[in-house]
Amino acid sequence: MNIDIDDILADLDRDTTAVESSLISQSHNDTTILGTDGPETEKFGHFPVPSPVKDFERLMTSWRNERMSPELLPFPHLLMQRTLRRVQEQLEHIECLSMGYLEDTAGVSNAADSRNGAVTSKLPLLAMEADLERLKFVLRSFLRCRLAKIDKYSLYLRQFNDAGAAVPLDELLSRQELGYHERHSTMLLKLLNNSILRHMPPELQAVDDNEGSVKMVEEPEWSRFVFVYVNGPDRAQRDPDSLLLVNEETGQQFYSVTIQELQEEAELAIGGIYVMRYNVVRDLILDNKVRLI
Amino acid sequence: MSLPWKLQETFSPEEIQFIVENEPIKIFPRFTTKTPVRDNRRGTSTGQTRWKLLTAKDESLNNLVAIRTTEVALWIALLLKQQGKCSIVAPGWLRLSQLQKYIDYELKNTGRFSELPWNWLVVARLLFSKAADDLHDPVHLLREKVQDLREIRLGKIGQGLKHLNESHLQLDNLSLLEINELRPFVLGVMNKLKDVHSSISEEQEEE
Amino acid sequence: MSYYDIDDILADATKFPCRFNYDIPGLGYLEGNIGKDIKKNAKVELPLWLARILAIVGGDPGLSSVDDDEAFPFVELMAPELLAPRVINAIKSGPATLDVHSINSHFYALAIKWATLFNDRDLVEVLNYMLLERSQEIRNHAASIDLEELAQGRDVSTFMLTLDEFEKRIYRDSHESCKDMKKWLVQR
Repeated sequence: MNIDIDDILADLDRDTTAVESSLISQSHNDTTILGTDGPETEKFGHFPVPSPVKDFERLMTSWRNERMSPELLPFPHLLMQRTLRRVQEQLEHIECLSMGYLEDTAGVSNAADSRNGAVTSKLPLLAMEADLERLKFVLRSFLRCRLAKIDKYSLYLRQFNDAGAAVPLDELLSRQELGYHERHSTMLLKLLNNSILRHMPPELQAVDDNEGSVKMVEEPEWSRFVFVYVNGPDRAQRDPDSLLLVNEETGQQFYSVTIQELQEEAELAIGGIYVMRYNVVRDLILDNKVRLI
Repeated sequence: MSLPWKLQETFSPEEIQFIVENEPIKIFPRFTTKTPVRDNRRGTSTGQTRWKLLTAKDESLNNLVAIRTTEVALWIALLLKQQGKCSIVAPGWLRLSQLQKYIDYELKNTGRFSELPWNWLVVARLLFSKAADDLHDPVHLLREKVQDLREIRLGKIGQGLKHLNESHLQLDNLSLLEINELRPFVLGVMNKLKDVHSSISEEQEEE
Repeated sequence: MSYYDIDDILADATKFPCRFNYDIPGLGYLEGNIGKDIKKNAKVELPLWLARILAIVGGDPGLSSVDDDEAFPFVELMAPELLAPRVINAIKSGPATLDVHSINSHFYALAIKWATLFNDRDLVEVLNYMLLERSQEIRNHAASIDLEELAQGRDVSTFMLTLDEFEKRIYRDSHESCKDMKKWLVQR
């Protein structure tokens, strides 16, 4: 049994797209993770598929942003779809290789020379397993972090179903997360109701009254301080970044931000590290111009 | 909780190490993976397994030539080193003379941090424990210098913390690990300062 | 701060001295006279969550309309002991050695609430200074505690006992972070 890596790579090329747009993420939700013939394949087939390494970098950024941001960030549907499929394919690939490796060593392990060769040829396998584990670690940590936030903001996220929400819930969450959130918040409300609320007078039964001095539904702390690194616009991007300003004295490029609560302006120089309020840099983070560190 | 509370709103030093391990470093491989051109058509039939990685570039690994330097991810370098298959080219800043220059700079400029790489502490620690024989100078001396550097910078950070405020802060040339160590303190104090000052924000609007 | 924040709830239960601006029938139980009325100018200690509301709303509904500027609120909030001039002076003269916990275990939270109610800019300045000075001290303790010092008999717990709830959290988080860092640095 011998599967050529190039075949797998070629297969990858035909599938998925490089375009991550909220417009088409809807249709992606409905295709299965491992599906190879989604309706968007032909439509966007001419875009180059991001390389695994490029995707891993993006996943690292998503992971680090998610870990440090007070709010739940939009789920990177396409990135995760590509990554999860690569994990599956790599698993199968490694399995094939290790079976082949066992056969090889059983057959020709007589000469000292070939034993040395065996160590060398075992190396890629060792590295590929470590590589896969590293990728799986980031995936797990990323998803666990999101689950923790889905728990924490269980009731807050329910409001996203209402009309007028800026981001629909099924874009913010993956399909599996959507199901998890639905079940979790239902269980939580049932528990609250059965253990406490039904023993209270009706006017005291609310858990989502936001009219009082303190809102009952816990929201992300929008103005919480975060550490940011200003990486600037994506180099691959053609259009000039209209938000990017240049300091006329130093030539330093920077973004100008406003700290609303203090009515203060601040400069975020490219390459700089700052402690800022999250709400001040939120848009720049969502645009990938600033990263949480 | 699906994420332990200790990992909420911060990273562990091990996670910072993980982040740094993805960065490239130069190695001298002790083996060759580059297949001679005439063999190329026969593909994998020579018995060599090709490298195919998801988190790091694999081209250089499929084209290794013994004793010719190449760049690989730090974690791969450490893995090869452990197997005795390469030596690591220690970065230029990780030598006694260079570290002394950084120390001198730190002592001379009380208000600034020297431009050490953003991953200096992690790289130093990893190479000290896993590739001591590849370093330019004796590891115990390097260790001392790095320790000195860390302590001088910690002292300066302490001085800088007097300038915490409710608005914002610029922290150039601090490494990721140093930031992570400071994180709970800096954010805790600044968030509280923000609360203190926002208590009178309405009055400001009236003015 | 969230709705279910236990420290905020505890802080709000702290009693503040109030003076009643009206005679109120039947409220005598607040000062231990069950069944009696409460008299105008009576001084009663009320939990902040209640005092805050009574100090904002009020006026005799029979005599004045809602918009009447002349209408006094039900009670007048009086400066509490924890913000007495001698405390403020103590903060100004030496914040680092102050035993904040003995003044109030939710000192910052309450001071912020007070500053919010009265737009007290001076208090904000004092808090800002106090927070910065004391946090340096907290960081020094959080970063330097190790077994060696404990063995030398340095009394760590005395300092810990002077911290308010917010300061304890800062200490705990910073200490954890420094400890993890040290552990990571020495591992093989």
